Amino acid sequence: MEEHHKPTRRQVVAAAGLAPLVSLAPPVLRRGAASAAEAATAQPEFRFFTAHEAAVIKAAAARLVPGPDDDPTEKLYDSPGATEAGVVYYIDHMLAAFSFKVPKIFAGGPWSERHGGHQDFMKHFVPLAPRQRVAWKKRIAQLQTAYRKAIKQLDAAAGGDFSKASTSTQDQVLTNLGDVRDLIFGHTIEGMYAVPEYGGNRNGIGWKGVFWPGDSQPRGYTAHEVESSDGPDVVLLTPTEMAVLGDLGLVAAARRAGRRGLLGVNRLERPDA
Amino acid sequence: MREHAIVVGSGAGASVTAMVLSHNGWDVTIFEKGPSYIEGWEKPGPIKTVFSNDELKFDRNFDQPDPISEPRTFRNKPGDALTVGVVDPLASVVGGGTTHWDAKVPRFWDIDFSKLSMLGPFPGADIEDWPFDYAEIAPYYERIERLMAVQGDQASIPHAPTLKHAPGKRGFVMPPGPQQLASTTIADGCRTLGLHPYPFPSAINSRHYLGRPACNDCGQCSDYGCPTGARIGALAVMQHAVRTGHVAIHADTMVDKVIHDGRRATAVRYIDKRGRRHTMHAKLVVLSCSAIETSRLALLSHLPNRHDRIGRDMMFHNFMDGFGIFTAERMHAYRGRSITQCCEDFGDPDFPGAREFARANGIPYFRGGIMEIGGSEDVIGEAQEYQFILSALASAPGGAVKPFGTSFKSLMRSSLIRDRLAGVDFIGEDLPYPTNRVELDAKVKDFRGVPVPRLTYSQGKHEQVASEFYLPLVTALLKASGADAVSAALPESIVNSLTGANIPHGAHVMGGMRMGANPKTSATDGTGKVHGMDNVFVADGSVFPSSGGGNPTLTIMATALRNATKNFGHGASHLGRRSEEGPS
Repeated sequence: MEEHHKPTRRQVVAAAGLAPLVSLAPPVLRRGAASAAEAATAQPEFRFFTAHEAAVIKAAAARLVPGPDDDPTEKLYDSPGATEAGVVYYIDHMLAAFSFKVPKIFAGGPWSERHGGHQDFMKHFVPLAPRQRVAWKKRIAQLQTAYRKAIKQLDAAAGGDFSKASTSTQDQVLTNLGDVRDLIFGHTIEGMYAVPEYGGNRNGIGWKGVFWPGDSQPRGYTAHEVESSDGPDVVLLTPTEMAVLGDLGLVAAARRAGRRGLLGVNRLERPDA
Repeated sequence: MREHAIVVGSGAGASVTAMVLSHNGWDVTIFEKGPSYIEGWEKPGPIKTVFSNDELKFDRNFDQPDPISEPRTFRNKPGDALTVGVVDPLASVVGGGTTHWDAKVPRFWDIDFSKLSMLGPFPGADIEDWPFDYAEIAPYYERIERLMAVQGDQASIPHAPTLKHAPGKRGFVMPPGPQQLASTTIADGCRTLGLHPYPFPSAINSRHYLGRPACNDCGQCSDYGCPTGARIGALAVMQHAVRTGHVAIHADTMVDKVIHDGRRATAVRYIDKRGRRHTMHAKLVVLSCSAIETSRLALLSHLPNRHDRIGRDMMFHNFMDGFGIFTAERMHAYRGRSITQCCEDFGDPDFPGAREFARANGIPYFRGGIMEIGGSEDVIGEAQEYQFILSALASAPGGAVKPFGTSFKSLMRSSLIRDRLAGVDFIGEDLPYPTNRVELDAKVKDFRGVPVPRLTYSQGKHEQVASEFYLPLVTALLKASGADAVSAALPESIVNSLTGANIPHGAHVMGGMRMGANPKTSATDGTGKVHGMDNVFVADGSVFPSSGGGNPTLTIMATALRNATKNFGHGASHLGRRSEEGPS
């Protein structure tokens, strides 16, 4: 497992805020930067998952949201995925939310230090109100059960150990097990794109390349940035984009579903009477 | 000797009512079911808050009732299976729904207040005039606009249709802030079609005001609490109440019963943070819990309901989404105030072709309403929608798309439905049908053991015909804006087959305790006093006899100010001016 716990070059580079410069630098400099920071970074223990469970979730998340080492296209884009973002830690922290002194449910505010703030208020989680404690205790318990079951299903479908199966087997299993996929995919998305204080999206790496700068306070945006075009940027139409543009009704349906709370964190608590 | 009043809720209607009561000799206790997340709003100056640019936090119901501990139940019609869970919640924290709105504050029109007189009846719907007309409420609108320090540009408001139907000077305190690219792009398309877009009046600071900063357009506005205090909603009004020293606010405390003896309420029963029940006496009780919750509390309290009006005529607006996708340019709607332009032409029942289309469909008239133009969404929502879309594409017959992996990442990079999207939120009028109603659920209770509200709601023919008429026009204006791919929402039946029961989701919640002179057709009198009670009043969107065609909060507050002034005195008449002038 050790090598999985090491931050990749990209994470370290992003942490130093050097991403645009370093991509131009000679490889030897990049290696140097990485090893210095690697030595300084201690990896957290898993709080909920066993080592095997973590390996299964990590492998599944890497298929759902692949990075450069998981998919040749992502290598081409040098586009970080679930492994680079540390999604498995996000999911682990979520499932172990009540093991933190203040439950790790609602990050604080009003801002982080990423865009001009002098300190990261987000890392101080907000104590739960009674209505929230009741709900989240129950939700987390449901999710813990659901994850233990999902991991067993993944292992069984992969013939023993999902994390050691070939990527094509893993893809097939995730294609077939729709409910398991939905569960892990939903939280993988959160672990990719939520603010890093929740334990994923390490150093904001999930936001790179998706034109989402993350939290912007206290800087915000200038009037020019709000009002003006950034210039031409023609979309690359892969078959997936073509499929979406060819069926915009699905976009409308997806938006509706999201607004009704049918997507995301609510999916487990809709016991239709 | 001051008498004691209790206000249940702390949002739009509550703030205004508490202000008027406290300035007219009352001691006021406010009970808020949810927590308090903003400090320092009680006086001019900076605020402290735990609100932030954190999409996940708000997805996790940071400021809304959680569907596990406080679900609601829903069905489209009696006999349908019940859905239990998320049913159009509003923020329930100190400040109410105005903590997570994007503060759009259009006025309703003359034809909203005088609907029966000006438009006539509609089969199956409870069409009535409000107890007052536009001319009567206009000065209250202006005062609320000043108290909320609304940004806007009087000169840019079009004569037709807006000033024709909602004349007069607005109480704008500051000019509009920067206009989002996505909004101005769609506005250009509107103008091409001869429509009249203009900067959306919004209760957001465009300049430093009363010790709080100008908005810095952080982009995470609608559905988020404001991290800076540039947008504090009803708390801008509530500060005038608490500064009297005669108002106390109790958070995390839910009132589950108004105790009454005949026509008089004597006390409320409330449940504190630890789940213990207490009572507090009062000479006067005001329900300001928002429309669904006020109806619920009225039913829980067994307030007089001889004609079975409580909870009826619920309205939610006829929302439709238009999608304009720009394949050659990014619209970056994540910068700004979640839409900065609006267009009201479709609210006109005499819009070219509308009367003919109504006749052809066998109805007397229909209306759309205001459009919020140029909106998009945030990144987690986008990703979840791709997850949904890819899954649907993959499971379709002959589906060749892999439902995850690089196909997902490719969509995130191209961002067709977020960064390249400039949307239209069409907000159409929703008529009051008596069959659309809130009742108490027979089985489901919240975590405190209190029965939850059950909503029964379906759109009627008015809404269906309006959608059918306006969908092609929404598509046309998006095309005229230069969007390369264009779509408006699918017909409800198709959407429902993909997403389940058609539950309203627009956070515009009205009706249930409608005002009217006749107790056979209304739950409250012409000033919001509950029929059959001498000292129980309602001050929120539940009193609306019609839904109008626009964001309701300004009208909730203006109505509350008009009613509270009538009921509790005139001492508040100077307040708008004081706010306008700033701290002395």
